Amino acid sequence: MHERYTAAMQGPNLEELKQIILDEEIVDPISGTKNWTDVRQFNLMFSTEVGSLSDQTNKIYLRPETAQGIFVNYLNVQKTGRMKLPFGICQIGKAFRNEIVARQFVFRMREFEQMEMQFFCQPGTEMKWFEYWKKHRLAWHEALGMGNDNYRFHDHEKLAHYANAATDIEFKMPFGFKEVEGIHSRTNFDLSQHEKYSGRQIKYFDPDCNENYTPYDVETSIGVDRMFLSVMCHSYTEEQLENGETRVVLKLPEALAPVKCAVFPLDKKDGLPELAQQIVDDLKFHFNTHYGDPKDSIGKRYRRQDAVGTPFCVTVDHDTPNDHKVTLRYRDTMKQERVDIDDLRKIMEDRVSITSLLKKINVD
Amino acid sequence: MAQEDVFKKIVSHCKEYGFVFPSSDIYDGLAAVYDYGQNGVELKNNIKEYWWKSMVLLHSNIVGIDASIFMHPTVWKASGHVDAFNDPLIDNRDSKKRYRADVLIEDQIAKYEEKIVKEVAKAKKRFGDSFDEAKFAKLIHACSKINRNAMLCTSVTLRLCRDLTLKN
Repeated sequence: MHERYTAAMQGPNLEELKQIILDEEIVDPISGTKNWTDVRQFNLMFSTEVGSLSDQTNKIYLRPETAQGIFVNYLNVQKTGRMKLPFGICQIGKAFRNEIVARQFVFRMREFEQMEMQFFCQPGTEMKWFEYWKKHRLAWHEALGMGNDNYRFHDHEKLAHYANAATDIEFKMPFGFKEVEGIHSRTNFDLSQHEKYSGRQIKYFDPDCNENYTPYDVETSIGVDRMFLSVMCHSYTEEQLENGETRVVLKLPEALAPVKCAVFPLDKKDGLPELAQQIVDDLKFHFNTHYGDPKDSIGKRYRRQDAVGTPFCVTVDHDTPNDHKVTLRYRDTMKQERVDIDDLRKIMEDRVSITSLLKKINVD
Repeated sequence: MAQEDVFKKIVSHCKEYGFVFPSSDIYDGLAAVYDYGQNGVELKNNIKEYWWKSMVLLHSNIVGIDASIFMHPTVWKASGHVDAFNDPLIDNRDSKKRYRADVLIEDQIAKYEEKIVKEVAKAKKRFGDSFDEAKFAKLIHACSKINRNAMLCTSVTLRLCRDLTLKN
């Protein structure tokens, strides 16, 4: 069945797809019947019209992928940036697909965001770079510390006609291992196509071998929303506390947390709110710091920050005006320690910075 | 807790704590479109920053651009999207629902694969230490590719595997 299905998808052979559904006696999950229509093709691109005329010549599409924006700018970037092969162009942006079956929350949306990088190289070196990017992209994921066992590669058995290697990086979601990123060796297909349709030469003169050629391309393409979902799924934790309560905590990688630090005055008295605000005003230039109003109990305020994944909470109490010290509480361990106000930034800044994540990327 | 329940909890947590809202929520939402809330946008921006810097800062030969969503229509001719970026759709006349034909078939394959995993576990129990799981899975996989019906071949493979493990 698998073999027959992949063969039918290649054409695609619509009659054969319908035949498989009939032969396998697949029923509608709602009606439970096998009363199927024929299989039809449906284009996934959204379209609209440019300007005021509404004839076909003004039809314009919302991009279904960000990759083409890179290919059509290849010449501009290569020339103006004096780029030498191999080199890459990356971008982050929205793309749109008119999905029929959109499901699993932000996993498959009609409007979504991609982070793509096209790496251009000399023909014949593409497999080396394909392996390089497989390794580097996996290391990027692993540096987040969300468990190396939760990732796996899924190599494509059947390749698109223009690709000579393709793999997915899958992450273990609550609904199974799902594709988060794709790494594809796309040969010179895209640049050649644009040469053909635009009539422009898209060639690179390689001074090392004195040759003109159309570069080969290795693509890494990751869905921002899927990445977001994998982080949320991994971080969501329910813990049983000793007092019988349940604590909901988002154990986000610290550098990704929306709020890095929350500062609480214990109560409204003795100028504690002003002191807490002063700490916020100092830290806010370095990372996202929130002030937590004393109308809720300290316990409640801690729980609220746990639920949004804030890695550090700082409490200003009645000893603070005298000893210049505050209570620092850690999200994951709930451990608390007394530290000097002046040490706060030093303790937190390194742990919550993107730089700390970048340094953890380990490609050996 | 069942994984399905966990996922439901994550979805409602996202809404309750300002990570992800249904689009146009006061109009009861728009299917498959979502908005990022005050916490969600921070998390998403951090993910993007981490990716961008890993590309542009850590690789001296990578540069970034920001191209427009609209492009010359011929771009999508050249890329193959106008002619080939299609989903095969099928309707059920009774429920009046529309499905992706490929998804229906893939779900069916997944059901077979689930059964195979169960068979492997069963065989493992039966043969104990002498059981070579990797070899068995490979056999079943090869078999299910040749055969239309994966389940039919599972019993065949089981027999094959018994011979193999006995020889070992």
